Amino acid sequence: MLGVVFTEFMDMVEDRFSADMVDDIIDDAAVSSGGAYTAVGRYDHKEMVALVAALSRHSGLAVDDLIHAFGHHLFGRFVERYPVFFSEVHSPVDFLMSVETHIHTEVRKLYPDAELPSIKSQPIGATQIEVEYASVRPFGILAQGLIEGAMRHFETPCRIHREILETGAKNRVRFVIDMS
Amino acid sequence: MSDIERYKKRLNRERQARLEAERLLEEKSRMLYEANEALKHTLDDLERRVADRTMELARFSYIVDQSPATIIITDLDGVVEYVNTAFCERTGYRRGQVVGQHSRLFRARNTTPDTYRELWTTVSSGQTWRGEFLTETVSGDQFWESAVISPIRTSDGTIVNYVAIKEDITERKAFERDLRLAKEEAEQAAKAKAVFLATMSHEIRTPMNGVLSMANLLSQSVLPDDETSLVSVIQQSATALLTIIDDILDFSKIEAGRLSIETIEMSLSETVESVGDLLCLRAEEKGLEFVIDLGTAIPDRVHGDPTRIRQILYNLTSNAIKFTDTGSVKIAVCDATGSPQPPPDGDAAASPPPRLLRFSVADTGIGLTPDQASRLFRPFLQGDGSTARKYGGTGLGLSICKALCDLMHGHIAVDSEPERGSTFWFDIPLHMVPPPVPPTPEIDISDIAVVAIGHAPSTMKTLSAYLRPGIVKDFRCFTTAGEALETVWSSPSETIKADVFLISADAVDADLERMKQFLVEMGHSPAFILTSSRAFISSLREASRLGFLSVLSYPIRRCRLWHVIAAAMNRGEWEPRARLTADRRPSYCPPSIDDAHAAGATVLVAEDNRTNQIVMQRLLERVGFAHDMAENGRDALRLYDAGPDRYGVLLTDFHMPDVDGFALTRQVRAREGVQGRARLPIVAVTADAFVGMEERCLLADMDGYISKPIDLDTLARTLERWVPQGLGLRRTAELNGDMTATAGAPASADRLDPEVFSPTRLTEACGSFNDAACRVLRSFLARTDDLLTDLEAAAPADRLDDIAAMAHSIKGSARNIGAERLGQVAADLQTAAEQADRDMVEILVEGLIISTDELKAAVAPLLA
Repeated sequence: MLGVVFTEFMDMVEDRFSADMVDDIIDDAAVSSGGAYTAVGRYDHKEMVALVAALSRHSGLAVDDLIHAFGHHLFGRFVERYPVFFSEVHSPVDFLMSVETHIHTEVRKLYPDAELPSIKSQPIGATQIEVEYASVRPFGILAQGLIEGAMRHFETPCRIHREILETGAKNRVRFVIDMS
Repeated sequence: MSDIERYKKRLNRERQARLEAERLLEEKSRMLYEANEALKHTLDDLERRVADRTMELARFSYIVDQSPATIIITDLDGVVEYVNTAFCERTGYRRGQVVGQHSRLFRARNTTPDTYRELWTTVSSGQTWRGEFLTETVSGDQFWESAVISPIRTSDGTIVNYVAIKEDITERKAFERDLRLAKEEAEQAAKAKAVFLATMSHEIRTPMNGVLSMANLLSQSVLPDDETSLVSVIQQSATALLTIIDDILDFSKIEAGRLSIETIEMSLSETVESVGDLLCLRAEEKGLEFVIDLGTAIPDRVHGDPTRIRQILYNLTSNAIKFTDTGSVKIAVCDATGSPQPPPDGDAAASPPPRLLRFSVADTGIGLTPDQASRLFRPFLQGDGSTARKYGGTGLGLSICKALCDLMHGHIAVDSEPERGSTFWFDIPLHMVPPPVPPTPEIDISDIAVVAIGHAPSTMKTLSAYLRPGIVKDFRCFTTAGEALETVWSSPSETIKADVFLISADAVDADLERMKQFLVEMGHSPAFILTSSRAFISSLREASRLGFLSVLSYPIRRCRLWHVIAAAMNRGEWEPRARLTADRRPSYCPPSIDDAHAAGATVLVAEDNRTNQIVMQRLLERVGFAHDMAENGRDALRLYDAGPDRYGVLLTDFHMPDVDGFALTRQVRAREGVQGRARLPIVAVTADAFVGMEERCLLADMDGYISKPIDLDTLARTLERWVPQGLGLRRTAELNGDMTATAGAPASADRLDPEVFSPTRLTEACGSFNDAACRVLRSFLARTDDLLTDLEAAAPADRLDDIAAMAHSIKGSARNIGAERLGQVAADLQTAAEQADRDMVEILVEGLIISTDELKAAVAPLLA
C-alpha cells in the first residue's frame, strides 16, 4: 500500500485525536515498519489494518467508522496534493469514470509496482452510476468514504447503496450511487 | 513514558522516515539516471535511423524528381500532393500552383470524359491503369501523354495515394499521324490513279469507237485498192488499241482491288467454246488448226466465274494465235488431279470438295526460254524487249491472267521450249453442280456409227474423244478421202455400215465423190456433214449443192457435234442455237398479282423504255415474281401511294423524264418517314455501270443496283435477297412446249456475229428463242426506228439533251436484247451528247443508223 495513505492516516489521527494517540497506536499495533512512514514508500496493508484496529481500541470507535471517516479525509487530501487530477473533471461521474482510466494510469507511471484496486464505473441512466470495487485488500469501506468525499467535493447530494459481492482473498463491492 | 522519551521516539521515527525517503529518493534518482541513459541511447539510435532514412528518402526523392518521366502523386480524392521537376518543366506549372489542387486542373478538354471515368474506376478498384490522354499546360497548350497510374498501398494493403508516371508521346503521336496521313495520301493517290486510268480508258474508248465506226463505214464504201488497205490498217490498229485499253482498265481494277470474282452456275463447254467463237477467224486467217478438246469426263455444270475464266482463256488463246505461224492451237480442259490444290478456305464439310480443273492452251509457236518464261506473269514485262516491237501488246495480259487466277484460288504457269511451242495452263478449283454427271448427248446416238475423213491430227483426236464408244456405236477416221475410198473398195461391208460421215473441207475432192457414188451404188445413203472453217461456210450453198446435210465449223463444239449427228439421223430439230443455248435453269411462273400484293411480294418497276419494260417483264416472269410496271417515276409513286404494302422491292431506272430514279427514291423515303412505314428496298437498274456506282446508290438511300443488260441470275439473286416473301409464291413452269416453237436456221444462227446480236439475252428472258423472244426483238426494232427518226431530226437542231436521253434509251434496251455493238454506239453517242461534242454526235448518229441496219440484217433470218 502506498506510503501516502499511511502518512495521511497518521496526520488524520494526530489531527483528530493527538500526537500521543499516534504513538499509542504504533506501539499497540507493533507494526514491523516501526511507524516511520514516508509518503513515497510502500508498506504492507496489514499494517494499516493493525493501526486502524489499534485506533479503534484506543478511541472506542468502530473500525468501519474510522475507515469510512478516513476515506472522507483522504479524498480531501488528494484534492489538495494532486490538483492536476481534478482540473479537467467537473462532475462526480466524470471523476469516477477517470479513476481507473486516468488516475491509476498516472499513479502506475510513478509507482510501477503499486497494487491498486480496480474501480470500474458505469453510468446507469442519467442519474445513477455503478462503481465496482475489487481488491485483494478489504477496504471497500475506504472506497465508500472516498466516493462520498468526491460527491461532497462536487457538491452533489446522493444516496449510496452498497452491496458486498465477495470477501476474503478477493474483495468485491458494488456501489450504486443515486444522484436524483 | 516521559515526554522526553516520547519526543525522542517520535524524532527517531521521523528520522527513520526521512532516511527511508532519502533512500527511496536515491533509488528513484538512480532509476531516473538509468532511464535517462537508456533514453539517450534510444534517441541516438533513433536519430541515426532517421538520418539514414532521410538520406534514403532524399535519394529516392532525387530519383523521382530528376526522372525524365512526369510523376504526380495524388491523394485518394485526386488532389495533388507531389509533382516532380519534369512535370513542372513540361507543363509550365510551378509546384506551388498544383500541389493541393485537384489533378483535373491540367486535364485537356479534348480527352473524353469516358477516358477519365475508366481511369478512375480502374485505380479506385486497386488496379493499375495504362493509357493515353491529352494534358494541358499552364498556357493552355495540349500534348499527348502515355500514362501508368497505380494505387500506392501501405504494408497492410490500404490504398493511401495514387501515383501517375507519364511520358510525353507528342512526337510519337505526330509520327503516327504523319504515317496515317501518308498512308491515306498514298491510298488516295492509288485510288486517284485507278480512277484516272478507268476514266482515261473510257475517254479513249469513246473516240476510238468513233474511229472504228468510221473505218467500218469507209471499208464498206467503194475505194481504190491502196485506200482499202489503209482503212484495214486503221481498223486493225483501232481494234488493237481498244484491246490495250481494256487490259489497262482491268489491270487498274485489279490494282485498286475492285475486281471481284463471282461464283455462279455455269457451263464449262459454253464458257470455253465461246472463246473459240471469238478467235476462230483469227486462227483461220493464219491458217492454224484450232481445236477445243473438252473430253467427256468432266461434268459440264460447275460453279465458277465464267466471265473471268473466259477472259483468261481468251487472253492465252489470243497470245497463242499471235505467236504461232504454223501448226495448231489447242484449248483443253482436263482433271488436274496430278497436282491437287485445295482452296484456302470454304466449307469443305458442308459440300463435296471442289475439283481442280486444268485449262490449257497449247500452241506450236515460237516458244519461250526458261528465263523468258520466268518473267512472263509480271506486269509490263514480256518474253523479251523485242516482243513488243514485233508482236505489240501491253505486257499486261498475262499479269491480269495471273491476278484473276489468284483471285480464283488458282495457279497459272507455262511449259515451253523455244521454237517448239508453249503450253500455258491454269488450274482452278471448281465445285461441280450436283449431281456431277459426265456430259452425254441430249439425244441418244449410241447406236450410230460415224466415220471422219480428212481431219488434222488434233481435230481427229478431239473427235475420237467426243465420239468414243458408248456415245456412238463406232467411230473410224481416215486422213484422206482416197484412203477411205480404198478401204470402202477393199471391204465395203465394213465401211458402209457408217451412218454419218464427217468430212473435212480439205477432203472434198474427186475421191470423195467417187466414194459417195460407190456408197449410193451399194444402196447405202449415209448422212454427210461438212466440217470446215468459217470462211468456207460462206459457200454453204455450195456445200448443200455438194450434198452435205449440215456444216460444222472449227473449232468443233461438243454439243453441236452430237446434236448435228442426231439431227442428221432425223432425231432432232435443225435448230442448233436455241437448243444449244436453251437455259436449263429452273423456270418459274409468277403468282397472281393479287396473291403477290397480299404477300407484299410484288415487284414495282419504274422504267420508261418500252423495250426494257418488255425485257424486264419477261425476266420477272421467268424468275417467278409478279410485278406492276410504271411508265415513269410519277406513275410509280402513284402505284406506291395506292398500296405501299403490296410491294417487296422497287426496281427503278435512273434516267426518267420528270421524276427520275433519285427523286422517286427521295419521295418514297419521305413518305416512309412521315407514315412510319417499313423501308421499301430500292434497287437501281442502270446502264451507267461505272466505278463507285454502288456508293452513289447507297448515298441516294437506295439499297443496291443492277446493271443493264440485266443478267437473269443477278436479278434472281437480287429478288431472293430483297423479296424472300415472294419465293414461296413462285410456281414451276414447263418450258418444253415453248422450246420447240423456235425460229431460225442453223446456217443463219451460225453466221451471227455475237457482237452484233447474241440471242443469249432473249433466250434467258424467254426460256428459249421462241415467239415471245421474236416479239421483243420486233418491238425493239420498231421503237429504235422511231427513235432514229427523232434523232436525225434532233441532231441538226442541236438538241443535245434529247439526243442523250434517246441514246440512253437505245443503249439500255439494245444491251438488254443482246445487241452489244448497237448498245455501245448508243452509249458513246450519249457520252458525246452529254459532253456537247457535236462533231462526234453527228458521226455517231450515223454510226447508230448503220449499227441498227447491221442488227436488222443479222436478225432478219431469225424473225422470218
